[in-house]
This record gives sequence, C-alpha cells and structure tokens, in this order.
Amino acid sequence: MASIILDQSNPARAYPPRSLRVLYFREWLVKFLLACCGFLSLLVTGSIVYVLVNETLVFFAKPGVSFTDFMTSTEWTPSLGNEVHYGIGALVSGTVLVSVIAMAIALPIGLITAIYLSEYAPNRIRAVLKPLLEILAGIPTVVYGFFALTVITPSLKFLHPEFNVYNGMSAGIAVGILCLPIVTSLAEDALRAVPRALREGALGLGSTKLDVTLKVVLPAALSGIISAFLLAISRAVGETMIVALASGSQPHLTIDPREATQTMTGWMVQMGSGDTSQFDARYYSMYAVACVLFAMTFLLTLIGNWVRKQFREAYE
Amino acid sequence: MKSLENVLKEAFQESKSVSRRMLAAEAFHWVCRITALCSVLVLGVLLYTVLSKGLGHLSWSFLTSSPHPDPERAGIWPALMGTFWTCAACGVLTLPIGIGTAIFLEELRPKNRMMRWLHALVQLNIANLAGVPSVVYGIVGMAAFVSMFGLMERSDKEQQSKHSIFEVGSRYFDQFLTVNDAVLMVPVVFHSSADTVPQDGLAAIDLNGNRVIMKVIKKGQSIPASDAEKAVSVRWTETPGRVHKQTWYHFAVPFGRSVLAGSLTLMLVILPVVIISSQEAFRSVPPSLREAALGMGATSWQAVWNVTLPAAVPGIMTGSILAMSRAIGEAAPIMMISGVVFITRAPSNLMSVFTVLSLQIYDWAGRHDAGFHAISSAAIIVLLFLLLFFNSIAIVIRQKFSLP
Repeated sequence: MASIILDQSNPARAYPPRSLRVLYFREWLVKFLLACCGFLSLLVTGSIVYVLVNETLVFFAKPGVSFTDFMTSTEWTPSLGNEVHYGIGALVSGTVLVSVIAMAIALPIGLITAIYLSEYAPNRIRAVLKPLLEILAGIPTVVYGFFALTVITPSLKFLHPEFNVYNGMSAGIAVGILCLPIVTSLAEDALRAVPRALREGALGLGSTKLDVTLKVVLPAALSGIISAFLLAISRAVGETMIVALASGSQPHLTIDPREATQTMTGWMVQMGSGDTSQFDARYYSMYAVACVLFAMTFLLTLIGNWVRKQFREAYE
Repeated sequence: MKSLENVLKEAFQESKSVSRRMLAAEAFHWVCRITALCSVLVLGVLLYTVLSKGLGHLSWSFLTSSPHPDPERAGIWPALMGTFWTCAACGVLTLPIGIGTAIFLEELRPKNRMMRWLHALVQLNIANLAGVPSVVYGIVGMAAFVSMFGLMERSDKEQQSKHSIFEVGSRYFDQFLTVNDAVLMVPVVFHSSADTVPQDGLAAIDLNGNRVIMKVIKKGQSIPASDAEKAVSVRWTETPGRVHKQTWYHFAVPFGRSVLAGSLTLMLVILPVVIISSQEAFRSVPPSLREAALGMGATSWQAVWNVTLPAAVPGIMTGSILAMSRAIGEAAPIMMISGVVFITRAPSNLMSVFTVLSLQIYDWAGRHDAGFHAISSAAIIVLLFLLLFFNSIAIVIRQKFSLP
C-alpha cells in the first residue's frame, strides 16, 4: 500500500513522508505492546513453574522430609511429633476417591442429558433446559460446598447412619453436580457438530432413533465427548472449596466414602488459610502438593488436546 | 435359495426384534427425559434450600453491618465492599491485557517463522493455563504478589510487622496520651522509625487536626491547671503507639495481603477465560469487513482499531462479564491471599486487608452453629443476586448489539 506513495525513482521521495513514518512507528509500537501482552501469558506459566519448583525444593531440603517418603509413603501425618510422614499417596487417594464419585455422577448423567438435548428434546424444552444448565454452571463452588454440607450430608446420614459428618461421598456428589453442566454443554456441542446427513442416512436404512444415537452419532462425536470428560475430570481434581467444606481434614489412604478424608486441594487450603508458620515444613509441603496437582491437571489437558487432534472426524 | 419357510421364519423373528428395538428406543427416550429432569431437580432443591434458610435473615442491617461473633448481629458489608474492590480492580487489569492478547493471536498474523512459532506457543500456553486449578493460582499469587518472591521474608521474621520497600500515600504517627486522656499525634518519617521521645516543643496534631506544640511534664512537676494546657501536656514517662493514616491512593511494595494482590491473582485466574472468549469474538467478525479495510489502505492496526474491534465488542463484553462473574464467585485463590480473617472494615484503598463475599460464606458455612448456616445462606442469596445481575447485563448486551 505504501509503495504507491513511495516513488523509488525520485531520491527526494525515497523515504516515506513524516506522517507516514509516524504511522509506521505507531504501528510498530502497537504490535510490540500486543506482543508483550501475548508474552505475559508465557510469563505467567513461567512464574507458576518457577514458584512451584523453587518452593518444592525448599520443602525437600527441610529436615525430616525425603523424596522417597513423599512418593512411596501412604501416610500424611505432618503434625504427629515423632512419626512425621509426608506421603502424597494419602492425599492423592482422597482426590481420586472424590473425583471417581463425582465422575460416576457427572459423566453418565451429563452425557445422557447432552444426548437428550441434541437428539431428542423439542425446542420448547431445550429453551428451558439450556439456560437452567447455564445457571447451574455459573453457581460459585462455595455454594455447592454449602449445599453438600447442609443438604447432601444430612440426606446421606438419613439413608445410612454410618456416614461421618465430613465424608468423601458428600463432597464427591457435590463435585459431580458441579461438573455436570460442563460435561453436558461440551458433549452437546460435539454431538451437534455431527452432520445431519449421517443421521438421515442411518434413519433411512431403517434404524431406530436409539440405533442412530448409539451407533452413529456417538462414535462420530467420540473425540469431543472424551475431551469433555477429561476436562470435567481435571475440574474435579482441582476443585477446592467443596472438598474444603465437606470432606473433612483427615488425610489417610481409604476407599471408604463414608469416612472423612482430605484431598490435595483441601490440604493446600488448610495450610494457606490457617495460621501455620510460614517457615514450617508443613507450610512448604503445600507447594510440593501443588506441584503434583499442577502436573496432574497439565497432563489431563495435554491428553485432552491430543485426543481431540488424533480422533477428530472431519466432515467437510 | 432359501426356502419359503425359512424366509417367513426370518421375517417373523425380524418383526419380533423390530418391536424389541422400538421398545428399547422408547425406553431410552424416557431414560433421557428422567435424567434431564435430574439436573432441574438439583437446581430446584439447591435454590429452595438457600432461599428457605436465608431469606429470613436478609435485611438492610445484614447488608450494612460488619461480621460479628453473634450470628444475629453479623453482616456482610466489609465482604461486599471487598468483592466490589477486588473485582473492579481485577476487571481494570484484565480487560486490556486479555483483549490485547486476543488481538495479538487473532488479528496480527505474523509472517516470519520465529513469530509464527511464538504465536503457536502462546496459543497452546493459554489452553493449558485455562486448565490450571484456581487454588494453584492462589499459591503462585501468594509467592509473586504478597511477598514478591521473598522480598518480605526479611521483615516477617521480626515480629510480623509489614515492612515496605516503597510506599506512597501513607503517613505514620506516634500517639501519646495527654494528662486529660486526650490524644496527641507526632508525625514520624517511616514505619520503622524509632519511637519518639516526648520533648518540649515537639510539633504535634491533636484529634481535631489542629497543630499544637507538645509540653512535657517532667518528674516532680505539677500538672497544669488550665484545660488548654492539659490538652497538650504529656507525662515524661509516656510511651507512644504507632498508628498510620492512609489516603485512598496508598500504595506500597510488596503488596502484602492486600486488595491489589487479590485482584492480580484473580486476574491470573480469569485471564485465559477472557482471552479465549475474546478470540472467539474476533473470529466471528466476518472476514470481508477486515479485508475491505485492508484493501482501502488501512494498516493492520487501523483495521483492528476502526473495524474489527468495534464489531467484536459485544462478544468481548459478553465473555468478559461471564469471566467477571466467575471472579466474583471464586474463593480458593482469595483464601490463599487473604486467609480467613475477621475484618470489620470495608477496604479504603488498594493496600487494605480485605475479605470477599465467597470467603465470608465459606467461613460461616464451615461453622457448626445453625445460626451461622442461616446467615451463610443469606450471603449466598446476595452473591447469587450479584451474579444474576451481571449475567443479565451480558444477556442484554448480547441481544442489543449482536451483529445481524
């Protein structure tokens, strides 16, 4: 565009006039600033990794802490005077327990709701159900924590008196409710992206609606559905306020959902909010736990991206 | 060739299996309906619980009073103001950076290989950042903003006193008790200055803000008779207490457990959300608009500023407001920054200690007293109302300004 103005044959006009130079400079400056914004996100990742690794190294340098104990021990007993163990296994088992319960609720219900919304629901019902799910998705997690504590736990105790006041089941159910709209909306997007022609072809061959859904649409949308599942799992693993309120604070290796348990995030919140000394090994253990959590969610995101790329069916 | 008998047999079985398949299809349809009803039911139970428990406690005095050990007298004013301060600061910080990054990723298509590689890296990075749990951002924010990578560690060892490296908008005073139990304040330079020794002729300020000259009553001297003199006289044994007065623009480095540190941390949490939704807004602007601008000789920034950005604003606003409503409800990262603290005053500047509504809800919900559960659900109603308000703004914007 500038070459129209620049006349190379005339040496006096070989340089752009002043106003254009100002324009070029402004252009360069704006691009530079925008690139800085983009860079900032890299900086954020960099500082996350720096902080986590740095403070984790401080933790492992503390007396009484060892890496092998951290990885292999299944006891997390930092407060017991002479039997101090920092075994991440105990906290991971809490996280896994809560996440498994949550997924047992969110994945089937979420997927079936998504199928209903995309394949069966008449427009009238869709117009009501979609906004309701959006409301459910917008409710802050601390509200779900309150719900778990005041509604789910008493109901569980009513059904089965063996349940502790704080238990993994109640937290898991609440996390499941939290993940439900995520699964539904992402899976529905994936199902809707399947072209109509596929459905019509199957229907034309004499399939019932169930056959179309289960044997044609679902396999075609599988990559999107799996990445929705993975996203929901990573949300459940990183969920904090619900487990902090409802699952209690006794880290131990258990698969009994009736007992109090503690997840990785629960421990981090307990250390961050409490009055633990800032120079205690217990305090720094928070960073090591955060490191493990970060690695887990990062891995889930990577797998999700890979699945989406690898198994995507393109219909164009 | 199949015999006729066999064909008929197959057809008969076929019809049986057809009816079975039809039955299964119908059954599945009902399963779908019932499952979809589940989520509605859950939402209904949740809202009913919160409303039935909290509606009775919602009152004007609940909104305008401070937390209190007695649930009947407790209120949410500091938390409500804390939420406003943090979210406003967070929005001001996040929007330019988020939109800038989205423009960088969507509108400035680089030509050389190096920049293209950077582009792809930033894009991948944002997708990953969106998956990081908010509590991790909380502890990173604590290390990065509260203590600024250990700048504060030195002072933390000596008696928890906050020690700033850089500070504006704050004045420190030594407070003396006069003989008639009034208060005199002597200005000091730094927070860490040594205690002032009472002296005759020291310039001081009384409680009404008048400048006065201090008088010291030495050992054995008698107390002056007149009230005016009593008001400026200090016993020689008096020890001062350090107080500070902060202006609205008070600013200090490191940030400490302040509103600013909280909103920067929230920024980290919602930045990926804002970037991704703004990117989608830019992507949905028809390419013909952009191409027309470029074809008429606009530079790429002119095309963005005058054409694409205005067209993308509704989408950006919708996405950003939804991100802000996430920031309002977020509790875990704020808990890492501010801790669960008992705060009775609304923040007055960016350096104030603070609490937010969601954290107040957490604090009350975690107690064993049913009274606290009730006011917790009253606070939840306020929080949900705020969110509803924000979301309806987003819907209005989406309806009003959406491109035809």
